[in-house]
Amino acid sequence: MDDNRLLPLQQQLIAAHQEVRECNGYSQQFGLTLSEPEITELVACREEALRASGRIEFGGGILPKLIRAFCDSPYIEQDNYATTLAELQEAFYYFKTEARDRFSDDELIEFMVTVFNGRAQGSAEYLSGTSLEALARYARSGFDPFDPEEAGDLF
Amino acid sequence: MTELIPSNLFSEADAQLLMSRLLSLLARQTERYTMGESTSVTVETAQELLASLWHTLTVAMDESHTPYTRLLRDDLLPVVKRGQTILQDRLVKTKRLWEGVCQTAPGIQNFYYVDTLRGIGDYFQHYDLYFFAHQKPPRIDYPLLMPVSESLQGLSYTEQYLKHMLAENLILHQFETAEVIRLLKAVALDYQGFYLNLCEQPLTNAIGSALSGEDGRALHLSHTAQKRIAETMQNIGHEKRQQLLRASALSVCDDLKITDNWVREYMTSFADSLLPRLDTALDAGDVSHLFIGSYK
Repeated sequence: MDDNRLLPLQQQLIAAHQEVRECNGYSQQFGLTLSEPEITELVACREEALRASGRIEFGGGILPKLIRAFCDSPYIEQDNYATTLAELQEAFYYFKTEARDRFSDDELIEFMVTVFNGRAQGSAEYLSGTSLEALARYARSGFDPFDPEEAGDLF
Repeated sequence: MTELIPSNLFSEADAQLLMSRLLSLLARQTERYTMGESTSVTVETAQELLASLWHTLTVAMDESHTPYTRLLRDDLLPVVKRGQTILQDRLVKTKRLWEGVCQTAPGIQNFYYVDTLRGIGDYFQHYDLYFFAHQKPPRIDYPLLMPVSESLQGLSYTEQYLKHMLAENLILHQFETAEVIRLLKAVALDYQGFYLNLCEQPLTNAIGSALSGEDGRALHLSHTAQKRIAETMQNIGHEKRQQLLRASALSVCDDLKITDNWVREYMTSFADSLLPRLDTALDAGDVSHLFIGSYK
Protein backbone atom coordinates (compact mmCIF):
# COMPACT_ATOMS: atom_id res chain seq x y z
CA MET A 1 0.00 0.00 0.00
CA ASP A 2 1.57 3.26 -1.02
CA ASP A 3 -0.76 5.56 0.86
CA ASN A 4 1.66 5.99 3.76
CA ARG A 5 2.92 8.90 1.74
CA LEU A 6 -0.34 10.64 2.39
CA LEU A 7 0.16 10.71 6.13
CA PRO A 8 2.26 13.62 7.36
CA LEU A 9 5.22 11.41 6.50
CA GLN A 10 7.84 13.71 7.82
CA GLN A 11 6.01 13.90 11.15
CA GLN A 12 5.77 10.12 11.29
CA LEU A 13 9.47 9.67 10.62
CA ILE A 14 10.43 12.35 13.14
CA ALA A 15 8.20 10.67 15.74
CA ALA A 16 9.78 7.28 14.99
CA HIS A 17 13.28 8.74 15.28
CA GLN A 18 12.43 10.44 18.55
CA GLU A 19 10.88 7.34 20.13
CA VAL A 20 13.96 5.26 19.29
CA ARG A 21 16.32 8.03 20.41
CA GLU A 22 14.57 8.15 23.78
CA CYS A 23 15.27 4.44 24.27
CA ASN A 24 18.98 5.24 24.57
CA GLY A 25 18.15 6.65 28.01
CA TYR A 26 17.09 3.16 29.07
CA SER A 27 19.51 0.98 27.09
CA GLN A 28 22.67 2.83 28.04
CA GLN A 29 22.56 1.20 31.49
CA PHE A 30 23.36 -2.01 29.60
CA GLY A 31 26.14 -0.35 27.64
CA LEU A 32 24.05 -0.03 24.51
CA THR A 33 23.22 3.10 22.54
CA LEU A 34 22.24 3.85 18.99
CA SER A 35 23.92 6.59 17.01
CA GLU A 36 21.91 8.94 14.79
CA PRO A 37 22.91 7.16 11.55
CA GLU A 38 21.97 3.83 13.16
CA ILE A 39 18.59 5.21 14.19
CA THR A 40 17.99 6.50 10.66
CA GLU A 41 18.98 3.13 9.23
CA LEU A 42 16.71 1.23 11.64
CA VAL A 43 13.73 3.46 10.83
CA ALA A 44 14.39 2.93 7.12
CA CYS A 45 14.63 -0.84 7.71
CA ARG A 46 11.30 -0.66 9.48
CA GLU A 47 9.63 0.76 6.34
CA GLU A 48 11.13 -1.98 4.23
CA ALA A 49 10.23 -4.71 6.73
CA LEU A 50 6.62 -3.51 6.86
CA ARG A 51 6.38 -3.47 3.08
CA ALA A 52 7.94 -6.92 2.77
CA SER A 53 5.59 -8.42 5.35
CA GLY A 54 2.48 -6.76 3.92
CA ARG A 55 1.84 -4.68 7.01
CA ILE A 56 1.07 -1.10 7.85
CA GLU A 57 1.87 0.67 11.07
CA PHE A 58 0.84 4.00 12.49
CA GLY A 59 2.89 5.81 15.06
CA GLY A 60 6.47 5.11 16.02
CA GLY A 61 6.51 1.38 15.51
CA ILE A 62 7.65 -1.68 17.39
CA LEU A 63 11.30 -0.70 17.80
CA PRO A 64 10.99 0.87 21.26
CA LYS A 65 9.39 -2.31 22.59
CA LEU A 66 12.01 -4.48 20.93
CA ILE A 67 14.79 -2.34 22.38
CA ARG A 68 13.40 -2.52 25.91
CA ALA A 69 12.87 -6.28 25.62
CA PHE A 70 16.29 -7.17 24.17
CA CYS A 71 18.76 -4.61 25.45
CA ASP A 72 19.49 -6.66 28.58
CA SER A 73 20.24 -9.78 26.53
CA PRO A 74 23.61 -11.33 27.34
CA TYR A 75 24.09 -11.91 23.61
CA ILE A 76 23.83 -8.32 22.50
CA GLU A 77 26.82 -6.01 22.65
CA GLN A 78 27.41 -2.55 21.32
CA ASP A 79 29.07 -3.77 18.13
CA ASN A 80 26.13 -5.99 17.11
CA TYR A 81 23.32 -3.95 18.70
CA ALA A 82 22.03 -2.10 15.62
CA THR A 83 22.27 -5.05 13.22
CA THR A 84 20.61 -7.41 15.71
CA LEU A 85 17.77 -4.96 16.24
CA ALA A 86 17.28 -4.69 12.47
CA GLU A 87 17.11 -8.49 12.18
CA LEU A 88 14.73 -8.81 15.11
CA GLN A 89 12.50 -6.06 13.72
CA GLU A 90 12.32 -7.74 10.34
CA ALA A 91 11.57 -11.12 11.97
CA PHE A 92 8.93 -9.57 14.18
CA TYR A 93 6.87 -8.12 11.33
CA TYR A 94 7.32 -11.16 9.14
CA PHE A 95 6.16 -13.62 11.77
CA LYS A 96 3.40 -11.38 13.00
CA THR A 97 1.86 -11.89 9.54
CA GLU A 98 2.88 -15.54 9.22
CA ALA A 99 1.18 -16.32 12.53
CA ARG A 100 -1.92 -14.54 11.20
CA ASP A 101 -1.83 -11.88 13.93
CA ARG A 102 -2.69 -14.55 16.47
CA PHE A 103 -0.30 -13.08 18.98
CA SER A 104 -0.25 -9.63 20.48
CA ASP A 105 2.98 -7.66 20.10
CA ASP A 106 3.91 -8.40 23.71
CA GLU A 107 3.30 -12.13 23.35
CA LEU A 108 5.41 -12.39 20.22
CA ILE A 109 8.23 -10.36 21.74
CA GLU A 110 8.11 -12.48 24.89
CA PHE A 111 8.50 -15.59 22.78
CA MET A 112 11.34 -14.07 20.77
CA VAL A 113 13.22 -12.99 23.91
CA THR A 114 12.82 -16.41 25.52
CA VAL A 115 14.16 -18.26 22.50
CA PHE A 116 16.84 -15.68 21.60
CA ASN A 117 18.30 -15.77 25.09
CA GLY A 118 17.71 -19.52 25.32
CA ARG A 119 18.18 -22.16 22.70
CA ALA A 120 19.04 -19.64 19.95
CA GLN A 121 21.98 -18.36 22.04
CA GLY A 122 21.76 -14.91 20.53
CA SER A 123 21.32 -16.00 16.91
CA ALA A 124 18.55 -14.05 15.19
CA GLU A 125 18.98 -16.40 12.25
CA TYR A 126 18.24 -19.45 14.40
CA LEU A 127 15.31 -17.62 15.97
CA SER A 128 13.78 -16.84 12.56
CA GLY A 129 14.66 -20.02 10.75
CA THR A 130 13.64 -22.46 13.45
CA SER A 131 11.56 -21.39 16.40
CA LEU A 132 9.56 -18.57 14.81
CA GLU A 133 8.78 -20.74 11.79
CA ALA A 134 7.51 -23.44 14.13
CA LEU A 135 5.55 -20.89 16.12
CA ALA A 136 3.87 -19.56 12.97
CA ARG A 137 3.05 -23.09 11.86
CA TYR A 138 1.52 -23.91 15.18
CA ALA A 139 -0.38 -20.62 15.25
CA ARG A 140 -1.96 -21.41 11.88
CA SER A 141 -3.13 -24.74 13.26
CA GLY A 142 -4.56 -23.21 16.45
CA PHE A 143 -1.77 -24.16 18.81
CA ASP A 144 -1.15 -22.25 22.04
CA PRO A 145 2.59 -21.90 22.62
CA PHE A 146 2.01 -20.65 26.14
CA ASP A 147 0.27 -23.83 27.14
CA PRO A 148 3.04 -25.96 28.68
CA GLU A 149 1.48 -29.15 27.37
CA GLU A 150 1.29 -27.89 23.82
CA ALA A 151 4.57 -25.98 23.84
CA GLY A 152 6.59 -29.17 23.45
CA ASP A 153 10.14 -28.34 22.48
CA LEU A 154 9.28 -24.95 21.00
CA PHE A 155 11.38 -23.20 23.57
CA MET B 1 -7.01 2.85 -1.18
CA THR B 2 -7.57 6.10 -3.09
CA GLU B 3 -10.16 4.34 -5.27
CA LEU B 4 -12.55 4.60 -2.29
CA ILE B 5 -12.95 8.30 -2.94
CA PRO B 6 -15.23 9.11 -5.91
CA SER B 7 -13.02 10.88 -8.45
CA ASN B 8 -15.90 12.95 -9.81
CA LEU B 9 -16.47 14.64 -6.45
CA PHE B 10 -12.99 15.79 -5.54
CA SER B 11 -10.04 17.36 -7.27
CA GLU B 12 -6.77 15.44 -6.99
CA ALA B 13 -5.53 17.79 -4.29
CA ASP B 14 -8.76 17.51 -2.31
CA ALA B 15 -8.76 13.74 -2.69
CA GLN B 16 -5.25 13.66 -1.23
CA LEU B 17 -6.29 15.89 1.64
CA LEU B 18 -9.32 13.73 2.33
CA MET B 19 -7.22 10.56 2.20
CA SER B 20 -4.81 12.13 4.67
CA ARG B 21 -7.71 12.85 7.04
CA LEU B 22 -9.07 9.34 6.56
CA LEU B 23 -5.69 7.79 7.31
CA SER B 24 -5.50 9.72 10.57
CA LEU B 25 -8.93 8.32 11.40
CA LEU B 26 -7.69 4.89 10.35
CA ALA B 27 -4.77 5.13 12.76
CA ARG B 28 -7.19 5.63 15.63
CA GLN B 29 -9.51 2.91 14.34
CA THR B 30 -6.67 0.43 13.99
CA GLU B 31 -5.63 0.99 17.57
CA ARG B 32 -9.19 0.36 18.70
CA TYR B 33 -9.42 -2.74 16.52
CA THR B 34 -6.25 -4.25 17.99
CA MET B 35 -7.21 -3.01 21.47
CA GLY B 36 -3.77 -1.45 21.68
CA GLU B 37 -2.17 -4.91 21.51
CA SER B 38 -0.59 -4.44 18.13
CA THR B 39 1.20 -1.49 16.57
CA SER B 40 0.68 -2.89 13.06
CA VAL B 41 -1.95 -4.71 11.01
CA THR B 42 -1.84 -6.35 7.63
CA VAL B 43 -2.52 -4.16 4.63
CA GLU B 44 -5.69 -6.17 3.93
CA THR B 45 -7.02 -5.52 7.42
CA ALA B 46 -6.22 -1.83 7.13
CA GLN B 47 -8.03 -1.68 3.78
CA GLU B 48 -11.11 -3.32 5.29
CA LEU B 49 -11.07 -0.96 8.27
CA LEU B 50 -10.74 2.02 5.96
CA ALA B 51 -13.55 0.79 3.69
CA SER B 52 -15.73 0.43 6.77
CA LEU B 53 -14.91 3.96 7.93
CA TRP B 54 -15.64 5.40 4.49
CA HIS B 55 -18.94 3.53 4.27
CA THR B 56 -19.96 4.75 7.72
CA LEU B 57 -19.07 8.34 6.83
CA THR B 58 -21.05 8.20 3.58
CA VAL B 59 -24.04 6.69 5.38
CA ALA B 60 -24.04 9.68 7.73
CA MET B 61 -23.57 12.20 4.91
CA ASP B 62 -26.27 10.64 2.72
CA GLU B 63 -28.79 10.47 5.55
CA SER B 64 -28.42 14.18 6.28
CA HIS B 65 -28.06 15.10 2.57
CA THR B 66 -24.72 16.74 3.35
CA PRO B 67 -22.26 17.09 0.46
CA TYR B 68 -19.17 14.90 0.79
CA THR B 69 -16.96 17.97 0.37
CA ARG B 70 -17.76 18.79 4.00
CA LEU B 71 -15.54 15.86 4.92
CA LEU B 72 -12.59 18.06 3.95
CA ARG B 73 -13.15 20.35 6.90
CA ASP B 74 -15.63 18.86 9.40
CA ASP B 75 -14.38 16.90 12.39
CA LEU B 76 -14.73 13.31 11.18
CA LEU B 77 -15.19 11.51 14.49
CA PRO B 78 -18.70 12.87 15.18
CA VAL B 79 -19.66 11.98 11.59
CA VAL B 80 -18.48 8.41 12.18
CA LYS B 81 -20.50 8.20 15.39
CA ARG B 82 -23.56 9.54 13.61
CA GLY B 83 -23.07 6.95 10.87
CA GLN B 84 -22.80 4.16 13.44
CA THR B 85 -26.05 5.26 15.10
CA ILE B 86 -27.80 5.20 11.73
CA LEU B 87 -26.36 1.75 11.03
CA GLN B 88 -27.56 0.44 14.37
CA ASP B 89 -31.06 1.55 13.52
CA ARG B 90 -30.78 0.15 10.01
CA LEU B 91 -29.59 -3.18 11.38
CA VAL B 92 -32.77 -3.54 13.42
CA LYS B 93 -34.94 -2.63 10.42
CA THR B 94 -33.09 -4.95 8.06
CA LYS B 95 -33.40 -7.84 10.50
CA ARG B 96 -37.11 -7.17 10.67
CA LEU B 97 -37.24 -7.22 6.87
CA TRP B 98 -35.40 -10.56 6.88
CA GLU B 99 -37.95 -11.95 9.34
CA GLY B 100 -40.68 -10.79 6.98
CA VAL B 101 -39.04 -12.60 4.08
CA CYS B 102 -38.69 -15.77 6.18
CA GLN B 103 -42.33 -15.60 7.23
CA THR B 104 -43.57 -15.11 3.66
CA ALA B 105 -41.22 -17.62 2.03
CA PRO B 106 -43.11 -19.65 -0.58
CA GLY B 107 -43.73 -23.26 0.28
CA ILE B 108 -41.38 -24.33 -2.47
CA GLN B 109 -38.09 -25.96 -1.58
CA ASN B 110 -34.95 -24.70 -3.23
CA PHE B 111 -31.49 -25.17 -1.78
CA TYR B 112 -30.16 -21.78 -2.87
CA TYR B 113 -33.19 -19.92 -1.57
CA VAL B 114 -33.08 -21.58 1.84
CA ASP B 115 -29.30 -21.41 2.19
CA THR B 116 -29.20 -17.74 1.25
CA LEU B 117 -31.88 -16.83 3.78
CA ARG B 118 -30.08 -18.80 6.43
CA GLY B 119 -26.80 -17.14 5.45
CA ILE B 120 -28.31 -13.68 5.81
CA GLY B 121 -29.56 -14.67 9.28
CA ASP B 122 -26.01 -15.69 10.21
CA TYR B 123 -24.71 -12.43 8.77
CA PHE B 124 -26.77 -10.44 11.27
CA GLN B 125 -25.22 -12.46 14.12
CA HIS B 126 -21.73 -11.46 13.05
CA TYR B 127 -22.27 -8.06 11.46
CA ASP B 128 -19.75 -5.62 12.90
CA LEU B 129 -20.89 -2.06 12.29
CA TYR B 130 -17.86 -0.63 14.10
CA PHE B 131 -15.05 -2.20 12.11
CA PHE B 132 -16.57 -3.91 9.05
CA ALA B 133 -19.74 -1.94 8.35
CA HIS B 134 -19.30 -2.21 4.59
CA GLN B 135 -19.36 -5.99 4.44
CA LYS B 136 -22.21 -7.81 2.72
CA PRO B 137 -23.50 -11.28 3.55
CA PRO B 138 -20.88 -13.72 2.26
CA ARG B 139 -23.39 -16.42 1.34
CA ILE B 140 -25.77 -14.74 -1.07
CA ASP B 141 -26.16 -17.31 -3.84
CA TYR B 142 -29.85 -17.21 -4.68
CA PRO B 143 -30.30 -15.36 -7.97
CA LEU B 144 -32.92 -12.61 -7.80
CA LEU B 145 -35.30 -11.73 -10.56
CA MET B 146 -33.60 -8.34 -10.72
CA PRO B 147 -30.11 -8.22 -9.19
CA VAL B 148 -29.11 -5.63 -6.63
CA SER B 149 -26.43 -3.16 -7.63
CA GLU B 150 -22.99 -4.39 -6.50
CA SER B 151 -22.04 -0.80 -5.77
CA LEU B 152 -24.19 -0.94 -2.65
CA GLN B 153 -22.40 -1.86 0.54
CA GLY B 154 -23.17 -3.52 3.85
CA LEU B 155 -26.70 -3.19 5.12
CA SER B 156 -27.75 -1.08 2.12
CA TYR B 157 -27.07 -4.04 -0.14
CA THR B 158 -28.66 -6.51 2.28
CA GLU B 159 -31.76 -4.41 2.70
CA GLN B 160 -32.23 -4.02 -1.03
CA TYR B 161 -31.67 -7.74 -1.60
CA LEU B 162 -34.31 -8.58 1.00
CA LYS B 163 -36.77 -6.08 -0.51
CA HIS B 164 -36.41 -7.88 -3.82
CA MET B 165 -36.92 -11.26 -2.11
CA LEU B 166 -40.01 -9.97 -0.33
CA ALA B 167 -41.49 -8.69 -3.59
CA GLU B 168 -40.84 -12.05 -5.24
CA ASN B 169 -42.43 -13.88 -2.31
CA LEU B 170 -45.50 -11.68 -2.70
CA ILE B 171 -45.67 -12.42 -6.43
CA LEU B 172 -45.27 -16.16 -5.94
CA HIS B 173 -48.01 -16.27 -3.33
CA GLN B 174 -50.51 -15.06 -5.91
CA PHE B 175 -50.12 -18.28 -7.89
CA GLU B 176 -51.19 -21.82 -7.01
CA THR B 177 -48.14 -23.47 -5.47
CA ALA B 178 -48.82 -26.77 -7.24
CA GLU B 179 -48.94 -24.95 -10.60
CA VAL B 180 -45.67 -23.15 -9.85
CA ILE B 181 -43.99 -26.43 -8.94
CA ARG B 182 -45.28 -28.08 -12.11
CA LEU B 183 -43.84 -25.22 -14.15
CA LEU B 184 -40.51 -25.29 -12.28
CA LYS B 185 -40.22 -29.00 -13.03
CA ALA B 186 -40.54 -28.15 -16.70
CA VAL B 187 -37.55 -25.83 -16.28
CA ALA B 188 -35.53 -28.31 -14.22
CA LEU B 189 -36.81 -31.58 -12.86
CA ASP B 190 -34.54 -31.16 -9.88
CA TYR B 191 -35.64 -27.54 -9.31
CA GLN B 192 -35.05 -28.02 -5.56
CA GLY B 193 -31.32 -28.32 -6.05
CA PHE B 194 -31.12 -26.23 -9.18
CA TYR B 195 -29.62 -22.75 -9.35
CA LEU B 196 -32.71 -20.82 -10.46
CA ASN B 197 -35.03 -18.04 -9.42
CA LEU B 198 -38.36 -19.46 -8.25
CA CYS B 199 -40.30 -16.48 -9.58
CA GLU B 200 -38.75 -16.10 -13.01
CA GLN B 201 -40.54 -18.72 -15.07
CA PRO B 202 -43.95 -18.28 -13.39
CA LEU B 203 -43.79 -14.54 -13.98
CA THR B 204 -42.52 -14.99 -17.54
CA ASN B 205 -45.40 -17.32 -18.31
CA ALA B 206 -47.89 -14.99 -16.61
CA ILE B 207 -46.66 -12.13 -18.81
CA GLY B 208 -46.92 -14.46 -21.78
CA SER B 209 -50.52 -15.29 -20.83
CA ALA B 210 -51.36 -11.60 -20.67
CA LEU B 211 -49.59 -11.02 -24.00
CA SER B 212 -51.71 -13.73 -25.61
CA GLY B 213 -54.87 -12.14 -24.25
CA GLU B 214 -55.42 -14.58 -21.40
CA ASP B 215 -55.64 -14.14 -17.64
CA GLY B 216 -52.27 -13.30 -16.08
CA ARG B 217 -52.89 -15.83 -13.32
CA ALA B 218 -52.66 -18.64 -15.84
CA LEU B 219 -49.23 -20.22 -15.84
CA HIS B 220 -49.94 -22.85 -18.43
CA LEU B 221 -49.42 -21.65 -22.00
CA SER B 222 -50.93 -23.65 -24.80
CA HIS B 223 -49.30 -24.02 -28.17
CA THR B 224 -51.97 -21.71 -29.55
CA ALA B 225 -51.10 -19.04 -26.96
CA GLN B 226 -47.41 -19.32 -27.85
CA LYS B 227 -48.28 -18.87 -31.53
CA ARG B 228 -50.38 -15.84 -30.70
CA ILE B 229 -47.46 -14.28 -28.78
CA ALA B 230 -45.11 -14.83 -31.69
CA GLU B 231 -47.60 -13.40 -34.18
CA THR B 232 -48.25 -10.34 -31.99
CA MET B 233 -44.58 -9.58 -31.42
CA GLN B 234 -43.00 -10.69 -34.67
CA ASN B 235 -43.48 -7.76 -36.98
CA ILE B 236 -43.36 -4.86 -34.60
CA GLY B 237 -40.42 -2.68 -33.61
CA HIS B 238 -38.25 -2.99 -30.53
CA GLU B 239 -39.94 -0.08 -28.72
CA LYS B 240 -43.43 -1.41 -29.36
CA ARG B 241 -42.38 -4.84 -28.07
CA GLN B 242 -41.13 -3.22 -24.87
CA GLN B 243 -44.38 -1.31 -24.47
CA LEU B 244 -46.43 -4.48 -24.89
CA LEU B 245 -44.26 -6.39 -22.43
CA ARG B 246 -44.63 -3.63 -19.84
CA ALA B 247 -48.36 -3.36 -20.40
CA SER B 248 -48.64 -7.15 -19.98
CA ALA B 249 -46.63 -7.00 -16.75
CA LEU B 250 -49.02 -4.34 -15.42
CA SER B 251 -51.98 -6.40 -16.55
CA VAL B 252 -50.56 -9.34 -14.56
CA CYS B 253 -50.25 -7.03 -11.54
CA ASP B 254 -53.94 -6.17 -11.88
CA ASP B 255 -54.95 -9.82 -12.31
CA LEU B 256 -52.89 -10.76 -9.23
CA LYS B 257 -54.28 -7.74 -7.36
CA ILE B 258 -50.79 -6.38 -6.71
CA THR B 259 -51.24 -2.72 -5.87
CA ASP B 260 -47.89 -1.91 -4.24
CA ASN B 261 -46.18 0.55 -6.61
CA TRP B 262 -42.69 -0.69 -5.77
CA VAL B 263 -43.64 -4.29 -6.66
CA ARG B 264 -45.42 -3.15 -9.84
CA GLU B 265 -42.28 -1.29 -10.90
CA TYR B 266 -40.20 -4.39 -10.04
CA MET B 267 -42.37 -6.48 -12.32
CA THR B 268 -42.20 -4.01 -15.19
CA SER B 269 -38.41 -3.88 -14.81
CA PHE B 270 -38.42 -7.65 -15.11
CA ALA B 271 -40.57 -7.37 -18.22
CA ASP B 272 -37.93 -5.02 -19.69
CA SER B 273 -35.26 -7.62 -18.96
CA LEU B 274 -37.21 -10.18 -21.04
CA LEU B 275 -36.88 -8.11 -24.18
CA PRO B 276 -33.44 -9.32 -25.37
CA ARG B 277 -34.48 -12.94 -24.85
CA LEU B 278 -37.74 -12.31 -26.65
CA ASP B 279 -35.86 -10.73 -29.56
CA THR B 280 -33.63 -13.80 -29.80
CA ALA B 281 -36.59 -16.17 -29.58
CA LEU B 282 -38.47 -14.32 -32.31
CA ASP B 283 -35.39 -14.32 -34.54
CA ALA B 284 -35.27 -18.09 -34.11
CA GLY B 285 -39.01 -18.28 -34.79
CA ASP B 286 -39.66 -20.12 -31.52
CA VAL B 287 -40.86 -18.57 -28.25
CA SER B 288 -41.53 -21.89 -26.51
CA HIS B 289 -38.22 -21.87 -24.65
CA LEU B 290 -39.04 -18.47 -23.18
CA PHE B 291 -42.79 -18.92 -22.58
CA ILE B 292 -42.75 -22.55 -21.55
CA GLY B 293 -45.82 -24.54 -22.38
CA SER B 294 -47.04 -28.13 -22.38
CA TYR B 295 -45.79 -28.97 -18.92
CA LYS B 296 -49.12 -30.34 -17.69
